[in-house]
Amino acid sequence: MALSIKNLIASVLIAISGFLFWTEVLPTYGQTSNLKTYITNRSELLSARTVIVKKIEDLNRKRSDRYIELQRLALITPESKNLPEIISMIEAMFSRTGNMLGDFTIGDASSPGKALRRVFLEISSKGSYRSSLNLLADIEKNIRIFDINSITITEDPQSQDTGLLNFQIRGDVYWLDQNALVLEQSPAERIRSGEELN
Amino acid sequence: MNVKEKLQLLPGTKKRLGIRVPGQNRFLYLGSMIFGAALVTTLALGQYRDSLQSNIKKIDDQLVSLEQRRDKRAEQDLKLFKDRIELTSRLLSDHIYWTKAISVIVNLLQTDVRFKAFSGDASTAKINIVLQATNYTVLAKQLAAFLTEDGILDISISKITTSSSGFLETSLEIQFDKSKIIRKIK
Repeated sequence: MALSIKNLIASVLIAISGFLFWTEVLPTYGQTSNLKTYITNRSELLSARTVIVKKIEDLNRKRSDRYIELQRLALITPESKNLPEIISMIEAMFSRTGNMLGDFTIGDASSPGKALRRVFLEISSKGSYRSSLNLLADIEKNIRIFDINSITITEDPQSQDTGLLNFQIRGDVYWLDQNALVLEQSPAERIRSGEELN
Repeated sequence: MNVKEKLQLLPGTKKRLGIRVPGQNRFLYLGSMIFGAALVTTLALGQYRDSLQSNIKKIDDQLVSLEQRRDKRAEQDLKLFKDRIELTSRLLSDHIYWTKAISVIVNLLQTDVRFKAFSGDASTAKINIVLQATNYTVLAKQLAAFLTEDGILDISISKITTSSSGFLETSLEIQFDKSKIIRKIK
């Protein structure tokens, strides 16, 4: 074969190689780099989600195991106002401690839209120093939280001989509005919890 | 004269000179090698890209199956449950204990001092006490005793009057630290 033909073939091969390099090798190389980054990100996402799903399953299992204990939470902050229960609770505390229950006011003191709702209580009573302290201790130990915001203890001018005291308390009892609790969750939290996926 | 005996100046057939020059095929070899390398690289990269794409598909399938495994309602319940626990914990940690405040104040009470009225407000962190003391020395001791308490931040005293029974009567406004006076120590 003539040298010139050999040179021509070699040149054509090199030209084809160059063409392949520019049209196939370089773009594919770029693609693989992008794919590798993409795989890394997706793998991280997959492992993170696997861990989260596992944790959620564990939490659900633990919650089921300790269902009875967790039900006590509903006693601390019930899911409804439950006014009859509040009245009987207060009445029981006063009769237990020997304080004479006087005026009693109940009102709603909740902020609109908040999940934690408040029932305002104002109670006047009469009793000895000891019974008033017992009443306070009873209120503080009550399973349904009753926060006394203000307290007034004065001498009862009509019963100075018996040593009775006028005892007035103002405070809040709480309940939890589940619907408002759902609405309080931010959109990001709702996405994380899966509501807006798919 | 015979034709064969005549002088032949031009050859009858065309004959190429077979002179071999060392390295004359080098360029051809080089071209072939470059072409081969380009071809192999193209094929190998193509295979590698396909395997990466199949990996992506596998991961995506796993993500989809993981997504299908999720119980979104249970997750939502858990989130609500967590919020509920947080709210309840906050309520418990902020729970007000007036028995603690009364106990602190009564323990600081001096002999010859008597309380006529006691009131407290958790939101302003103030306690108002109307008291009677036998004399100014006792009153001063009482104020000093209150100030020894860590949770009492400040005391204001109003006008001191003398009652018909001879006692000094005044009212005190005590500013206190909520965490030390009306909250349980964690």
